[in-house]
Amino acid sequence: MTMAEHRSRLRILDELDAPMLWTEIEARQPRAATVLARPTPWRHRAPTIVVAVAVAVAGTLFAVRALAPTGRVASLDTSTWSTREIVEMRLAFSYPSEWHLQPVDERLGRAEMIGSVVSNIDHRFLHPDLGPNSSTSAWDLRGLPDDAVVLSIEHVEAIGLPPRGDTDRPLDLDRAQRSVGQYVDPGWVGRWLPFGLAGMHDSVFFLFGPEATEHDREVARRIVASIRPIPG
Amino acid sequence: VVQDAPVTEAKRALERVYVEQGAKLWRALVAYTGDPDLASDSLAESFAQALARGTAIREPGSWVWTAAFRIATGQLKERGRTLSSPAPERTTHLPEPIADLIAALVQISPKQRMAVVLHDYADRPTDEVARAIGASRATVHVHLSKGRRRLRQLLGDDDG
Repeated sequence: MTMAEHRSRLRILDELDAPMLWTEIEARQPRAATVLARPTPWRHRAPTIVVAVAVAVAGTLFAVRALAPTGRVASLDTSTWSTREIVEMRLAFSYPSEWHLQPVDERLGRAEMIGSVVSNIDHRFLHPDLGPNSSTSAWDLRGLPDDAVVLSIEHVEAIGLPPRGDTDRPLDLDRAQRSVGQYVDPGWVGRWLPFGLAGMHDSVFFLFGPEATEHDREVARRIVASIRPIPG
Repeated sequence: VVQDAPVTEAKRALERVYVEQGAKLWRALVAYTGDPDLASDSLAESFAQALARGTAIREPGSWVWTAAFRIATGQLKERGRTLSSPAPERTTHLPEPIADLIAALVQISPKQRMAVVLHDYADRPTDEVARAIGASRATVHVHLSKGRRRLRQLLGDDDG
């Protein structure tokens, strides 16, 4: 089921007849003990603060370790790799089990973004916070380790794009173009490889850190080359 | 009269919010609670609270959505309703497709359900959903992803 179908299914709720409550609202005396965000007395917060500090310290230590390279070298033998199917994109790809995969299925303003981020670092990828009225499908890739390799295989559902012919496979990462408007550290260059598959407009955004090994770059190339359609 | 003017203006602004968004908010609350009566009470209470606060509320639209869902959550806890029971006595008179949808919704966790209903049905911004749930934006996205997947499974159309 696509995001559009998911939303369409929820819109059946619009058939419910809502009661007219304004007259009741005007006459209503608000309850004194309504459950809203109520301030908690400081003494009640003390245990929470202690726990929060402990968690923050542990989290910092964990983040330092998690952002470091995994230390395990991924096999280049794609027959041993895991398979990720993205039904909404009608595609599958393979990736080594030593790498990390983050599924993507989210709404950005009026657009839907589906896909997966694959990386040689264990990191939770987020979009930059552009405030309440703006959003972007770009990832915030600042502050990553110098040997990071990040691939985002993604589909952003936009309005008005005609069906696209399929791109010749296997996809070749070396044919990617320089990406602009990305959130990366100075000196880092993101690249972008658009492609058509099963009539859809998809793309791979990728980023190699300046110290990324040739081995990990080759893993990335093979991941992209493994992108294939699945039966609709 | 001069002193009352801002209060009157605040009330008008709130009434405008009700006219434009009240029905959608009520339906979203029904989807979240599975209970039309509880939805009505939560909605009315949130607007009544907003009226009492007058000009102290800068964004009444966002405020009543967040307050209504927090009130509904509190009401559910007070009633001891786990929402693994979909309040069948309340939903039986709903049209069948809607009752089926709500029956599925009440089987996913409250935070996932709130995220799906507010974000995917009501088109509320992620920041507001995060405030209603009491979580970060990133956590909201996790709730959304898991909630959508679970809902698809429950409705029998998860092919992945």
